[in-house]
Amino acid sequence: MRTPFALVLSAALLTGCASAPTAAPDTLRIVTPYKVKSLDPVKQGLWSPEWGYGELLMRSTENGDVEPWVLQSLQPVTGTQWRLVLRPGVTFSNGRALDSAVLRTVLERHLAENPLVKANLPGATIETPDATTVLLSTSTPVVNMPSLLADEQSVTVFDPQAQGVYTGPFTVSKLDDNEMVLARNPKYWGGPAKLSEVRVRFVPDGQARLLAVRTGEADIALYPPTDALGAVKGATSGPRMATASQTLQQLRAIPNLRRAPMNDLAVRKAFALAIDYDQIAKQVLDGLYRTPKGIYPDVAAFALGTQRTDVAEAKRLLDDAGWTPSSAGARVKDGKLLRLNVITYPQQPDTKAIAVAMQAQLAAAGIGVQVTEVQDNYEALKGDAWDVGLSFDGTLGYNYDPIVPLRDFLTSQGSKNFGGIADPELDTLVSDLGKTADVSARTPVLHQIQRLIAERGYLPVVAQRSSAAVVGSAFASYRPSSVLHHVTATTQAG
Amino acid sequence: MLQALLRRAGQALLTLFIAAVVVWSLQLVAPGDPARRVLGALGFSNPTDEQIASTRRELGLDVSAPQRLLQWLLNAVTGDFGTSWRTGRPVTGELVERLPATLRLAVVALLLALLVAVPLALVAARWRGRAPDVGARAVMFLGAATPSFVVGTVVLELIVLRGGIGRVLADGSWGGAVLPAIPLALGAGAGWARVLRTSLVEVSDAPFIQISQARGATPLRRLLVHAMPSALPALLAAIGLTVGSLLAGAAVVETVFTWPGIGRYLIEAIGARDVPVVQATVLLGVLGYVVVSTVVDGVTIAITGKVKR
Amino acid sequence: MNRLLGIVLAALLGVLAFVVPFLTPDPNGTEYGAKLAAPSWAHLLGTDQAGRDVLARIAAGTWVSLGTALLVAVITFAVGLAVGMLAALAGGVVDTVISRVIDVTLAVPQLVLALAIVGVLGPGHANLVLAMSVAGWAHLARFARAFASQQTERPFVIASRMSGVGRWRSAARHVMPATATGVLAVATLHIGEIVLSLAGLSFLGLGVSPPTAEWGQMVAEARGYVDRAPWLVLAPAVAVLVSVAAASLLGDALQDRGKR
Repeated sequence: MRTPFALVLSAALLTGCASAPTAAPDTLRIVTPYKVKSLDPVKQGLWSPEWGYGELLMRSTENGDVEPWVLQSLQPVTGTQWRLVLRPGVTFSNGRALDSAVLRTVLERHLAENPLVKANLPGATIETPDATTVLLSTSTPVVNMPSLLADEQSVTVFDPQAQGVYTGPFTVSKLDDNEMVLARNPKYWGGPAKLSEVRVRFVPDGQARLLAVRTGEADIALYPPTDALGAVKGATSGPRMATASQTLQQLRAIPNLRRAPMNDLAVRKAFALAIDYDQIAKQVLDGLYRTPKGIYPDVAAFALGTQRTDVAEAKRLLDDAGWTPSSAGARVKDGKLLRLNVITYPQQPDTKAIAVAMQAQLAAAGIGVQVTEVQDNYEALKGDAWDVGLSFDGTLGYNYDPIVPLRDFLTSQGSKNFGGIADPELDTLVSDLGKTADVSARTPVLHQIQRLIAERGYLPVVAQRSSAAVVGSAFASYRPSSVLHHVTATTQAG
Repeated sequence: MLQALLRRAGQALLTLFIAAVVVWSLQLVAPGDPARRVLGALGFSNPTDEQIASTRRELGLDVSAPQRLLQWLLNAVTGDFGTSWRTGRPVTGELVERLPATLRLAVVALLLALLVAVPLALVAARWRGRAPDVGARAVMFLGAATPSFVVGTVVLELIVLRGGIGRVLADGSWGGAVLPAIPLALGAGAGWARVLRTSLVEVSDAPFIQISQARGATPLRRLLVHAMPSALPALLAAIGLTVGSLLAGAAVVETVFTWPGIGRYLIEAIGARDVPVVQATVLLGVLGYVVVSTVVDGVTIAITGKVKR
Repeated sequence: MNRLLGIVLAALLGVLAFVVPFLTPDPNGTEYGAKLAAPSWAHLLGTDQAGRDVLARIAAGTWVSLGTALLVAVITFAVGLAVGMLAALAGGVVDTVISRVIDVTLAVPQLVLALAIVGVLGPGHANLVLAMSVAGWAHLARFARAFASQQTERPFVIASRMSGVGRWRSAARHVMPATATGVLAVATLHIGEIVLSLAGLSFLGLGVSPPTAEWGQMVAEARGYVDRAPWLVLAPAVAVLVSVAAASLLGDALQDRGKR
């Protein structure tokens, strides 16, 4: 009876105990929470530039620019027409050349099936005057074309005649529910990649991702949970924390203007003044975040410092507006308590820590906070049982474009205008911005917009951070990409 | 006896049928519009009425509830549980992919649990009322009362991280199943040991055992050869019960150890309110339990020759 | 001996629930300067990742974790007792129908049924209570039915019936108290199981929402700090352990008394 058990156990321990093999220096093992579900170029296309098996027409860089990638140049011809010139020698991993005819088919597929492309290129028509040039015309001006084409959710470049064939430095050799394996693309147009293989494991549990790097089972863990980072932050040996250069992830506190008390301007302004942004970044989140000075990160040349902490002024504003202190822990006006229902969501566990901190900070000004965790934050914000929705949505996006986030979140017709902001003045400013082709002429408009948003309390940014990763010793100098291009041709060990 | 077995099997089928109806009907009282949720999962944050209507058609929500239930039951019999609201893939395929990992975990956990339970119960029963019994019972109690997620967290920290044994990124293999099985085995084994000890003690007091004692059999031999067979049905029943809660237990352990099984899949589905997946997974858990408890009853009937009530 | 230990543990939990909150800081009061502080005189069980006093949170958690378990126990006790007695006293078709329903409910493992209900209705405290109650009543109902039928056949009950006391009045006077005591013992034994199940479900994120202190959730939140602040995992784990121990010891004692 015992022998079989002993056999099973010893066999199990033998295989289970075998320590992870030391990775060859040209193989990278990386763990991430997000699954690549398929190689569908439209529905799941955004993963292709992230994991280096696909590319976009344009790309965002680490220092805030947008530059041609598969294209050689992108120039406006008229207000409503752009000239796209392809880089010579670009081929797919199956050897097929990318010429203007192929690009035309790709664009047509996106225009037909990709909601983002459909919405942003109204009435698009395509001409191909020669083998490397595409003329893209729209019915209204599209001034942010470079940024739009650098958005990972827009035009991914794929071989329309094959399944899952792209132009990147890697090709997908295996994809299932747990893992994606990438192999070096020997035919890559930009020269062979430094790594021969990348193994991407999908691990939803943040704790497990971090442990995997600590035990040496993975080289890099993406999206590490902040609560566990304290242990590896500033570590001198073993796994270390690495952060990207640009803080492109803003945590918005979206106010619900559709109901009391956030429909009261004084409450919104007091709310923004009572939050201690510095404490949240430095103490609550262990210095892993940077204190937001306004709604835009410093990389944006037009960023203004519109946010500050001033509890005394917050109190004064509330006093003046008739909210009187009470013994119930929150102020009262007309028999109603000043209590805010703040929405957090488990996919971003930091929202919980931040909400708990806000609860304590706002209490000092007499604003009560109730924290509600929801499974799907957008779904909850579409309902009406909330006052403040915390949501990680970059104000610039990963393509350094302020226009689309402004339009989506803050204009009356915006698709993510959850709080019901309806401000004709702001609508006009944003629409003007969308028509200003000259980049330097946009700055004054953006300044006006930022001041207006701050004055009317439409959008406090509670915290901001850059992409982080925990890296093991084999890839100690790896730095996460600011724009989510995790693996590129030049990623290497060391 | 054959009649009793057949009746037991008939009961099992009826139970399964009623459970299926109940599990399906739960969604009728669920809040929110499923069509809207499905569209949200696919990335349509502000769907048009048209999109909602066509999604309702696709999900088959435009026909009456009894009709849908009938269709679901008919499909379920052929092993078709519809498509996941979250991924749009057939639920059955996704479950089949993950089932082996959970079964492996379950088998290893059950073996480990036996390895814990039998010696513990024998020690306790052999030295009844004395120090080893007290010690063994304390272990049984601690094992049954410590939450499995605490055991799992400690195992990860002490054995995997500090001890360098085993892996964090479980691959679902037999070897990798040993560590995640520990929390499951500890809880189950402790419970079984308690049951086995109680019935060993009861049987030991029976006259026929007393006679064997008079004949000079050693205490351990008496327990193993004479008392054990009579105590077995109680242990079998306890094992059957454990298998019933295995799916829920696996959900916790698979989450702690990122084990690629159906328990974690169920939790992910609950988070996304992926109703077809929840229904199918729960029904699978019920099926497993009903089958095992029917088999246990069958074996018990075969051993004792009478129907347990 | 066991009964005494059970009473001591229950008293300990009582102190934790009713006295400790007056001696400790606000369980949700954050103090970021004193994050992850080790146990000391100022914080007997240390502080957590937001500088909150762990003892205060364990005490507040008594109301949520143990309170919920008691609520579920009371609901299942009341429903189980009522349904079981009804089956035993009414007999006939009513008894057959109720017995079938009990059989089917028992054929679905409790936690799996609870997961199904939470899975479809969505996570949350109220849904959790509902799920655990729906999953737990049947066991007690079966017990109550068996116990009540036994009672109705006892000589003094039959005698009182024969002296002209109505069926239901006789039941209320003689059958009900004894049955209730018996079912209470079983229900008490179940509390430990409920505490464990609730902690497990909360650990999976299906229970109360933050920042409410709940033992299972406290462990879940502490997983990232287990190497630096082990007390964050140990304290709630011990709280669960003590609750389960108290329930099972007291349940055993009640059962023994019922037998005597």
